[in-house]
Amino acid sequence: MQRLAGKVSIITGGTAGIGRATAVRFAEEAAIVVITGRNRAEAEKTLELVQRAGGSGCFLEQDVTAEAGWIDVMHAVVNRYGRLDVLVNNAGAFFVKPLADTSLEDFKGLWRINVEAVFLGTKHAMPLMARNESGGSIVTVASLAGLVGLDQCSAYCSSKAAAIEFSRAAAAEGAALAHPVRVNAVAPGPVWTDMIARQYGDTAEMRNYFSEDQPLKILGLPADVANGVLYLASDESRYVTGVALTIDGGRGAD
Amino acid sequence: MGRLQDKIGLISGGASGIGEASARRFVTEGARVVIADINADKGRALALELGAAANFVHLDVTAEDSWRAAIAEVRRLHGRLDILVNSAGISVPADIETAELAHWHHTHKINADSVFLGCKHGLTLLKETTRAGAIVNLASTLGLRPQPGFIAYDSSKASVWALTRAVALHCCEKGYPIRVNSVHPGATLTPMMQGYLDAAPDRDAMLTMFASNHPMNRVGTPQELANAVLFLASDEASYITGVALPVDGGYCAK
Repeated sequence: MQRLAGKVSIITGGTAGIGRATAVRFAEEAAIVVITGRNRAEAEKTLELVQRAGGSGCFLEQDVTAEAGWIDVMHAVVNRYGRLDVLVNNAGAFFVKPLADTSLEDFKGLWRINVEAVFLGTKHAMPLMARNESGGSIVTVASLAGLVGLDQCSAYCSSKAAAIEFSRAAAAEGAALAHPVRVNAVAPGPVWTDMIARQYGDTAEMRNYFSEDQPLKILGLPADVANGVLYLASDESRYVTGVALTIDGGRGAD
Repeated sequence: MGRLQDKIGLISGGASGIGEASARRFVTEGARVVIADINADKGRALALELGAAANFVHLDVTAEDSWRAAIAEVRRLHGRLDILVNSAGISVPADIETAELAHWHHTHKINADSVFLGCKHGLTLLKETTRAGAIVNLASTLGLRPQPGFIAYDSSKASVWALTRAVALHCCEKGYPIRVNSVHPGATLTPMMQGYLDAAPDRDAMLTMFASNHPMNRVGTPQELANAVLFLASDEASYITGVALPVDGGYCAK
């Protein structure tokens, strides 16, 4: 289908998990997909999936925590495609540690990628999108952990809460533009991603735990999140801004 | 393949406003709809216009017998129900000092009793017949961010929000394959709003006032709301339940 036809989209961390699923979903909807990240080999795999889905795009190497890198990415996208319509701030990091064992460097490291990178991406994308007659859409992949507290995840929870609140505030600035740029977040609950599998181990027990860890009792997958990102990225949600859409099997309602 | 291919949808308040827009959108996505409304002339005309994919059933959303009859009619027509949209509602301004108890009761009857009855009787058919069901309730931004001049409306829409979450969790507990979510429109250009505008001494000033309450500085359209209803009703949202989705130009974020 054509729900993102011709829309030039950047997806950070498009080399795995939710980022990869979003890249593929966007390609199915005829978007041009720019994947950024640090792992070229994994990015090539995503691009192959994008092409198989009938889409086109490219990979740009990027450290999302470096401002100079963001400026380079924006230049590269505009030079190559002439515009930017959608940014998905997907790159993120996660660890589980008791407070006592969490160093200041651990904490700052998480905030750099989960908060500072979102700030940088939004800051540099918004003026480019504002040039488009049709404005633009920024979607940040936050987490239900930004809305509820998780045990031994204080660094992660606080960073995701910051990302959500940043989106809500930036939404006001985007809304005031002559060509509005919408800024929204998705807040996935328990979702079986590559990041989670690395953290906890890819075992049947763990998958089962994730399947049972919310009221719907099904295993949430990256594709579920990708569908939410698609809705918020597309013009179908052109009156939606400043929201955090939870995709969590009902866990947040419980 | 439409996004609601072969699904059966029942839409209360389906003859006008967001209900009407949802009925139209559902049909373009391959669903068959039963338009339920107290306004038989408008409802029949819309069903006629939409052709074989649509039927009309008379429904007084405040009357339990009327709901029973409507559900029985859906069963007779299709033998199944997959999607219930509770869209019927009213909005009449009054603050805590000016609102009469009769006004309070009347507003809750049409906005909250209706959704209670719709969910209660809709579930009887949904739980028996659907493999991937959804209820979408139309609440309001005012159910999340009350305005003092709409005391009864605020409360009735907050009730819809709480009821939505409770029914979502109930369906999970019972193992019914039915998701339940609410959409929260900001000011939307429906016949309900048209009524306000027509009654205003200065129509344009009134519309500007409505628009300026929203960071995007415009009101929403029924089509934009229908897009959100479609998303939550479709299998793309299969991991989303118990969620409140504002479609409000940033109203709830500010």
